[in-house]
Amino acid sequence: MPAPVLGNRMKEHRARCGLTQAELAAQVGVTRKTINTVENRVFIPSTLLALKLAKALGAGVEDVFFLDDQLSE
Amino acid sequence: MDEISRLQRKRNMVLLLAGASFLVWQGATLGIDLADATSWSEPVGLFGLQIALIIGAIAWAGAMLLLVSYQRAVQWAGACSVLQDELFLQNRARATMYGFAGMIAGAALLLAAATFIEFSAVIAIRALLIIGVFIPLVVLAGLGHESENEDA
Repeated sequence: MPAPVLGNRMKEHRARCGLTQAELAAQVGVTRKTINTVENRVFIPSTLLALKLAKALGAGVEDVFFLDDQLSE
Repeated sequence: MDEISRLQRKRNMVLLLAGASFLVWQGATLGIDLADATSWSEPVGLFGLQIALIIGAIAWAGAMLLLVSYQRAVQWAGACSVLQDELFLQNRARATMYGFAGMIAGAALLLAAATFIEFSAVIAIRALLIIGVFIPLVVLAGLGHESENEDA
């Protein structure tokens, strides 16, 4: 059984809020690269950062992050 | 490019310069140690090693000055916590792990080599030091490298 990966809808929520990666990064106090790697599922954020991101995007954490069984290998 | 991205680029540059200069500096010193141990006396080769040692040492000192300059720029921008965010801490841990693995592999190779050839502890320690410093610095710079077409 494949292990689920952490999926996210950050890009959609970011577009809805009209934020660039740099602006979102400044709001939560990380670098733009961190936002980029989270969006591209390269880096899994901590619970604290996930909550900060969801708050900055004006959404619940489960709206932004979810377990994705489809994309795992 | 914003201030944070500029500082990230500067950090990567300092890390790369520090890694490369340490490799040249200590690599040349290791070469001289080996030349002494094996009574190798090729004058052109030894001169080349001494030049590399001097250039490497100067470059290392330059890298340390750049590091101080980078730290001041970070403090000036008040960006210390941003530049040491979760991703950087993870990358730093990975780079350290690569360095540790490299040192273990180097130690194993030196141990195997010691069966066939004799060399002093100073040579072995210097070789491990080069691996332990060079690999983490260069890996951290590589992991922190940021391409310019990421934003969407």
